[in-house]
Amino acid sequence: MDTAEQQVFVDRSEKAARSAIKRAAGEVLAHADDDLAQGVVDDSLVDEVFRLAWRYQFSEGRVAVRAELQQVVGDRVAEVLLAAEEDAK
Amino acid sequence: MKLARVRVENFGPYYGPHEIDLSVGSHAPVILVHGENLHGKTSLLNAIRWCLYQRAFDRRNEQMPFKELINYHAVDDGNWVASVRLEFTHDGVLHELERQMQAAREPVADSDFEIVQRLRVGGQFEKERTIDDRIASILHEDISNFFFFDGEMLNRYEDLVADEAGGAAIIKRSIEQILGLPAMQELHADLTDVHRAAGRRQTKALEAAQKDVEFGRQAEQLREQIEAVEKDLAELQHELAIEQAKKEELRQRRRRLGEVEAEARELATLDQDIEQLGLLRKEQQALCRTALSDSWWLTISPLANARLDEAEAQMAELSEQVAAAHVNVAERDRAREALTSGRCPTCQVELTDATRTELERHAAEDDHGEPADLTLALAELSAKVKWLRELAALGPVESVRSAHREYRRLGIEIRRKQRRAEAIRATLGDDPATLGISALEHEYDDVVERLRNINDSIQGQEAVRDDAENKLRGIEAKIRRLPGADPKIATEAAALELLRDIFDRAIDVFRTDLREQVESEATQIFTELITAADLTSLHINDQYGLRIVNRAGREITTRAAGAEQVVALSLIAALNRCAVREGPIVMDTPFGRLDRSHRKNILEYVPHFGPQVVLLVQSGEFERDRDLDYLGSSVAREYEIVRVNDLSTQSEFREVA
Repeated sequence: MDTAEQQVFVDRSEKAARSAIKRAAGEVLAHADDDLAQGVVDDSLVDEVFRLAWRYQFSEGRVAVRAELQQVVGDRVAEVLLAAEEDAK
Repeated sequence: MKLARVRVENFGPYYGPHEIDLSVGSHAPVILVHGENLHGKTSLLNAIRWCLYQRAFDRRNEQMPFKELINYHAVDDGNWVASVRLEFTHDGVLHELERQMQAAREPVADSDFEIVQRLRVGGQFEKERTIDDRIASILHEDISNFFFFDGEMLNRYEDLVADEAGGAAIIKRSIEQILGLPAMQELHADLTDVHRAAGRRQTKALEAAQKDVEFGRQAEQLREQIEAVEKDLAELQHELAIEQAKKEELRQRRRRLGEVEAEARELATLDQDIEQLGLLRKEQQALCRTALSDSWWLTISPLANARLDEAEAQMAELSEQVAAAHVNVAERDRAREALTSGRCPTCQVELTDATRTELERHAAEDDHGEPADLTLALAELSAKVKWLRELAALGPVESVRSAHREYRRLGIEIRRKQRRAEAIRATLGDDPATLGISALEHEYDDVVERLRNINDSIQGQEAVRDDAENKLRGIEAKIRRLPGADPKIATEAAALELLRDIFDRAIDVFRTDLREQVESEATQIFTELITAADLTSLHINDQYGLRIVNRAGREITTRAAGAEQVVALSLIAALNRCAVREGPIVMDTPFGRLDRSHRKNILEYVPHFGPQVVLLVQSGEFERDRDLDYLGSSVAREYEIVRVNDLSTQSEFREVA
């Protein structure tokens, strides 16, 4: 098995994880009743959070991961609220 | 991770420094290492494991004490130092890891050793305290069993996943770690933490605005309750792990109890053998001493040989003299007899005057001395010659060599038996007779009871936590809808809660997907390896146990040892194909129970196991002339582990041309 072939398997593992999250997101969002959250959490945010998780999966320290997570969600919320404000105007 | 080079010094049978190049290319990923039993194949595998994780295991999968890992000859030299240096690449960067165990005097326990270690990554030294973390992030020890393994592990796999005493949970966790599930689990924990922090900020915002403070207080109380319960749960999980380890230990002791009697008998025989061999060794030592005491001869050898020549010449001359003396005495006696009778003793003719005068002269002659004196002198000379000849034939150098060789051989034999006896004593305890089955059963039942109580407590605490979380969820939802709530914090908290729910669900979905993926890969590999056409697939259960399924869709519940190995190898190959990290596969004596057809199939598959496969084989399972072709052109390097000589436990690597 050469490196490229091995990379295919590594990528396939990531693809499988992403696919599982996408389906889980579909199931959970279909039953969500919080308008605030639904306006923020979409496929792109779920994917961004997943990429973050995958990138840090071999990292021992979690402080940096949590800070980045906070940042990603905070930025998205700010965007959504700003857009809502613009719409209201 | 790809291995590049291993250097061992005084490790196992490797006395002094020895090195082996394990680098491979993408089209030739296999390293083939031949070695007969006890030559050092498992020691090479253990050297890699010890260097990475500071642990090595014997055939029973029990951890070996450090002192058992050091070469016997080094120990005989009073040198309690052994080291392993491992060079490998990870993400294209060279890593050089070196660990050395050393003790100033004979150690009793592992703690008597000092471990000197260093890791260089791309030429830069890693801080010593972070070496283990760095290695764990590359190839965690928990999953290493699927990369570094032996034939015994393959046979044991099904027992391990069926073991409810903890083994199954460990295997499951290891497999899921290889496949990347912890990425989801860790993210879920991170989302929980960040969500909780957002809730706290919300409470503080309410307090600051002095609005709906009661809601905030209730929410905070619930958060504190949840955190306290989680702390208790963590402690309970810790206790659970301790008790599971105890249960596993007791289970092993219980299993071993059946072997105790046989081992006790073996121990008695060993003790007798050791005593007997000790006596024989003393005899050889005495022979050695005697031979050495004759070695003074070496310095006078030329002189002694000259003396022997001289004495032999003297003896020949003296022998002639003795013969002449006897003839002379006979003639004198006859002359005297003739003189007395006046006649010739032969013809009875009277003696003439001339004859009488002649006979009188003979009777008075004594030229050759007395025969008795000469015979005595000859006997003395003969004894001297005999002694000198013995001395010359003695050959003290050869005698010393022979006695010393036997002395050393007996010493090695005694040490081997002593080590086996020590190992048996260590497992039997101080007094095997006191190890009663009833006491063990009682202890085992106690642990099972404690485990049950801990599990009940965990379930109880989890129920409390879930209840508190539901209440908190309700209160937080209310807080978010309060007119005075900070919209940014409220939206953030709601989004984080939803993300946490998504990843909570994703863990289950991913786990199911992974099992299906591994099952599919393992089935594909299994059908390539197995020779029976009616066995068409593998079924994987929740614990990653595998069942063979036949064409009719029926699970085969019992299987032969060979099939066990094929199934386990299929799983390992599947895991490596689905893994999030690539790693080298080192297989020690993996084909022991396989028939020729399965061995051929597996050997043909070996190059596809992963980017690097190190095969450690013995002649009973791999005949070079017959089997090498199955590996095609995939072999990058081939080595033979050879004994330096028949009398010692010293091995070395030799590259096969």
